[in-house]
Amino acid sequence: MNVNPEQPGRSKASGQHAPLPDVLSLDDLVKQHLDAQAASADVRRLQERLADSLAADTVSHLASPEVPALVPADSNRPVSSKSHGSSRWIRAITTLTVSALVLAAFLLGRFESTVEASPAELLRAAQETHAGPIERVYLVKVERAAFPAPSFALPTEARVTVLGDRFRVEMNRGERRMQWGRDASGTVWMVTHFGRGLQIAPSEAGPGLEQLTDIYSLNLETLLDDVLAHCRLEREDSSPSVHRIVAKAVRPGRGGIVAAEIEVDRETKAIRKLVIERNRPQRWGMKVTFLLTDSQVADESQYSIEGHLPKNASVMTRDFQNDRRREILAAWLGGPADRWVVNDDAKR
Amino acid sequence: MSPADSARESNSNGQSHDWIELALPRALAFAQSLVRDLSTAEDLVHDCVFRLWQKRDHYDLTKDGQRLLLKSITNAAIDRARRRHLTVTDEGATLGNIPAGDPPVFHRVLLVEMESHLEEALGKLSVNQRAALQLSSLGYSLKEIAESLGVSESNAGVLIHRARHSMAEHLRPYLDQD
Repeated sequence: MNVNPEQPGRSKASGQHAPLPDVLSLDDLVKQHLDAQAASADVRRLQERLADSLAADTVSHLASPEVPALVPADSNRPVSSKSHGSSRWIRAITTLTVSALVLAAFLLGRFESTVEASPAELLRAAQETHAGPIERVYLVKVERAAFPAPSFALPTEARVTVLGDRFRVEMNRGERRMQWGRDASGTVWMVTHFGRGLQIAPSEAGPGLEQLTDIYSLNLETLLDDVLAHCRLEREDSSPSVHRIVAKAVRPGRGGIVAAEIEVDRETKAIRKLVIERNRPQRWGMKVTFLLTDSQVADESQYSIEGHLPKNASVMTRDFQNDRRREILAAWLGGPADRWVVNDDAKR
Repeated sequence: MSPADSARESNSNGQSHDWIELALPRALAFAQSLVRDLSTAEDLVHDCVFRLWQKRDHYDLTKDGQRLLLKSITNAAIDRARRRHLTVTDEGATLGNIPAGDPPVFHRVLLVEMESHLEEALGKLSVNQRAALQLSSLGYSLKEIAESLGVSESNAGVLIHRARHSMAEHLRPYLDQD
């Protein structure tokens, strides 16, 4: 490596801009950051994958002239004696022979692990699948940790229908059947009884409501991004119908994910089952299981409150019957209303 | 001895695998910084090492392996960003790792905070700018950075300059304190 003491670009600072505070310190900071990241990088899994791949390549000795030109052809390239005369034929025959052996080995299943998609590729495929216009229905089971003590009671079972980042939930609260969900604008809606409903704008959502939507929504785009970014993924023994992936957090993510078990349908790449453990230190911990029960063409109207109410039905909002809305929320979900909806007065 | 062990020891060209062992931590950290995703970074590093390995007859990987690997990773990350039309955000920004040692509590808190801002600031750069700045901080020459990015030297200089400006704006409180 050629270390350039001049630090490229440093002398080009334009007079039109404010002077850089301290370019050398900035470079040092970035270097220190990269050094720290490298020092803590856990490369064991990568080493194992590479060892398998390189071993397979050593056995097959496959030449790969079609490999994309990741490195330029003009640098560091010694003249190869293998490009002349008979050695070229020997190489071609060897390649053909070994290729046949590799193909045979492949057919026998010996190299299955190297041709299957990686866990990360499977999760990205699942993300693409769930971005389509198909809604999926999951049975959701919630198991909460005994400590810290739950601040409010949650139904342990619910039925959640998901379409992208929209969802609707059906759950029982005692004798009452609740339907609620989140629409495309992020507004949470709830249907109280025939002809009545309420809405809570994203800016009004209290901490309890944010937690509730976090638990029951299955926003796979965000969730799987979090898993991909913060978890180490391992394949488990798969069945003929699903790929099983186990994810364990290696660093704290935004969703408090500790671990996850994910089953991806081999054919459709939809998430068939998801068990996710979350932990918010000093706040709550829980395990939530999503089990796919149905897939169908989405009825988009069902993801907003209008789809659940007759025409001209009144909907309680911040600007219409706000006090009544707060009372209903407190009665339904328990505890003070501020847990569920934060009004403008409380924000001030 | 398993095929994996055999492969670890040497290859048909007589080249050692030591360069891979040495280069992997740096390569993985570099790739993760560019693609902001551990699993994708692992896939990317795996593919780049494998492709270099397949071209082992053409290169002295013991000598140039790490340099060529970082170059390959840079290209692959930029290609990926172009393919996926990624918009670079601060998604996935996390607290980084604080260098070992036992600094005073206040110093350590400050380091954590600054590390977080540094990660966030890096996340706001485009992949090209991030790669250029990081390669520069690792001591690569402007010519080498330009080659890695597939741009002219003057363009590489502009990328680094803009990246520094953006980072400096984000980190000004910390840099000014120094």
